[in-house]
Amino acid sequence: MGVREDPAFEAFVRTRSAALLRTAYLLTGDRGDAEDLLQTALLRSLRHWRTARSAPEAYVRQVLVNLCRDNWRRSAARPRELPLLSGAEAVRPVDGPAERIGQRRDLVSALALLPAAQRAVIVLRFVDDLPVAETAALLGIAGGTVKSYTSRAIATLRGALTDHDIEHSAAEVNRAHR
Amino acid sequence: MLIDEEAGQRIGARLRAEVADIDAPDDLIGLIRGRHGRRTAAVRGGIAIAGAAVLATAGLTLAAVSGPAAPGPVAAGTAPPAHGSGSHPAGGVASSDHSIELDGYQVKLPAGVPIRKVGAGYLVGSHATGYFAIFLERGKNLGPKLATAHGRTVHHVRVGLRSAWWVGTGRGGELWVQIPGLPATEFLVAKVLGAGETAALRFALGLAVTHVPVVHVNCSANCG
Repeated sequence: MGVREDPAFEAFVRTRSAALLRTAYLLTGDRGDAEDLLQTALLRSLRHWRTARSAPEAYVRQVLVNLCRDNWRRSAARPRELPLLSGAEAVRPVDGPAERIGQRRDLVSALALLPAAQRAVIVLRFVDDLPVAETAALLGIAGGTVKSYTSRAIATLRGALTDHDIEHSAAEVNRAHR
Repeated sequence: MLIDEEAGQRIGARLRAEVADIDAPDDLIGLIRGRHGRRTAAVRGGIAIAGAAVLATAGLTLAAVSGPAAPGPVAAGTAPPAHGSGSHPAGGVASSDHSIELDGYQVKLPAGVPIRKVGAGYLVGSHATGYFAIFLERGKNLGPKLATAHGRTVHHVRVGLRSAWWVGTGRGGELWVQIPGLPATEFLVAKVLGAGETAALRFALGLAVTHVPVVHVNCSANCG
């Protein structure tokens, strides 16, 4: 049986791709880029499935982070893309539910304003619940740097959102889990 | 530090809640296997010029040729290689330009614009209608000046697209063509306009044009 028919890969994609896509989305801030990155990361894991299969999620997450870092480097040297139309001329988005609820993604929007490394630290530490050491290893930085990035990022996010917002959202999450 | 941890946990919970509605495309495995299969086929076949081809949805047709620009579809291999400075007035296109055809809409690349890779890929999802905005670097202008970035002038041309392309979710399709032996130095990014910005088209250009192959790809699965 070749890797293409490996049911373990299929099962992994079925069960974990949504979570990984959310991570990619938070890292990139763009749904299309996130889907693109996830596909590429999964494709690489498929090509190296013998290596990846022992810890596929860690493998794919590492590839995702590496791809994001590559993108950050490339985007720094790339002309910024600007919309050609604005205001009433702009093409109206007709997304489904995801687009409609975009208005309530306040914290995601605030996250997107963080420097890329700080954003990555917040996502990996507190969304993916990775320990400091693992986050540091993924990003190729020291543990102390992870902590300082965390502190700075939280300070910025606190500035963008009031404590009330954060407390309120935590309460909402708690209610949703009951 | 403990305060940071607590705040971080709350922020994480809130972020998870805000993105809880995001799900991977249903056909993700198929898309990945499609890409994997195409890559494998390309390697096994030793295909140097044409790389991967069509993934899914919608009728993406792209043809890249060198030779006289003409409206409408351009037949494969009908034009000789083009040479030139690669610089034209805004909106103007010389007769020896290259042309790329996107589903019936012709985009003209100035003569001398080196092409190593020509690729088209798009992510479907946000737009009922849209435009591709094709950005060229280093003054290879195809349209009015749009913006400057890092001191470089960026020019653009807009290509209208059929609205049907942008209905649906997930990855649309991709096509890449590469001329071997030419170093890639420039890139050209096109992006569908709109608030969601989930659709993208990317081209990459190289250094020197000697010949640009004609590629004509029609969507073979999940069109429409």
